[in-house]
Amino acid sequence: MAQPWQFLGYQKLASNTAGVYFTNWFPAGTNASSYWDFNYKLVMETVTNYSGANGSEPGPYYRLNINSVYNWDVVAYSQHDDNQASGTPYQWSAYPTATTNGRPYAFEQPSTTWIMNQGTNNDAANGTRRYASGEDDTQWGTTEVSYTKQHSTGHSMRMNSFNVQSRVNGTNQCFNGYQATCGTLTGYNVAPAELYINAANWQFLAGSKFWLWGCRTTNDY
Amino acid sequence: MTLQQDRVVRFGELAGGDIEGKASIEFKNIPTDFCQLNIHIVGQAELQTTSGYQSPNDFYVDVDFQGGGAIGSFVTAESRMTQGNWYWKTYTNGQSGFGTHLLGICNTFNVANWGADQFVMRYYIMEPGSTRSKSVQFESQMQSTSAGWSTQNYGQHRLDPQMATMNAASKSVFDTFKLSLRSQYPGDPNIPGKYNAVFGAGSRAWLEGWGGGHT
Repeated sequence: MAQPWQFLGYQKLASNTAGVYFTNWFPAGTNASSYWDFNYKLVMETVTNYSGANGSEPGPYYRLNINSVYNWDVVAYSQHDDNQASGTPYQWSAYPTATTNGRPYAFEQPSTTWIMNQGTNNDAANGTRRYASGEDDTQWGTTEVSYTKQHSTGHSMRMNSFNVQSRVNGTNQCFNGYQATCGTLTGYNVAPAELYINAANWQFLAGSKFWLWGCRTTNDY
Repeated sequence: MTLQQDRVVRFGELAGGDIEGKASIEFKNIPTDFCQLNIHIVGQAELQTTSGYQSPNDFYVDVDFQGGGAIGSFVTAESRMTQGNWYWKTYTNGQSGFGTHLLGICNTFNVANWGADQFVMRYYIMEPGSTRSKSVQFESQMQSTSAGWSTQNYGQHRLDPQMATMNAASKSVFDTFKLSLRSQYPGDPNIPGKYNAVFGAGSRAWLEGWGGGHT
């Protein structure tokens, strides 16, 4: 029988930060998550003011790690787009789709990964993204991660991420979508003790928020 | 309402006559002291026709939040995959768009055809009681009676606080939510090819609040 979901932590960034940590997992002892099966839910609302072109240069991207395990297998499907007219169908690009093994971070692809920047046409005609350096900013990326850690098997995660952006001069929008799964068998018998969320090539701007919940799914102790 | 941070509460269920046969549902005065508010809708979709003419067509969902003044000013992005295509497509609506996304292809007509065109929808919003701009995430799956017509999509609705027409609504607390079904060819169901879109038998909707106390 599953236990109720428990709230494990919340962080709101007061200043721009490249790394966010959660270390307040379940306590050690007989309830330690190394012994039982757990589900975790991580929700992130992250903000960036990056306005560089996408696809032609390394933009900001995000990634995770658990317990400093540097061996993650990743299957990801990403889409970044710009200037899409209302209702215009647009097939997802093959780039940066990836299936890759042995990455240092969860949700990390070999080159571009869990991206949070804008589309390709960062020119005057289409306009740069709106950014007001405040919490009313429109460039929030919203991400939800489901993380399953069973005591005798590996780590498994699934992510949905979406980022809708409005632009200064354009009536059309640009956005990023990202779907991915990842997992590892490394360190499978060790309880999650540290979650590290990293912004590479840029920072999580002040006002970004992170929530973590946990749910024990076995009750046979 | 003050909630413990480690609580998950389920409330506000709509079932039976509260949702079946209706084209829209609405929640008002939703408690706002949550880290995350989830809105779940599950059930079946139907196209009503009295003309006898039956033709499957797309089934859309229109969402209204932050009051009626926000209608038509959503920034919406949507990704969808439909079986038969086997790849993702993306659809976005600009600032003049509605809070609309595709649910799937509906192939069920009248109220007698139970058990078809089943869907699952979830919306979530973080910190609905805050005064910062908010976005509403959605994900949905729908399976029609035809094996080739399964659809899943996900995306985000957002009010742009840096546009004058949306600024006030974007920063108001999130305490109302209206969701309407719409057929691809809405209109008088007596006219062949026009349909009402409604929730079918067994449909349910409810709210789920996760934690609370943050701003």
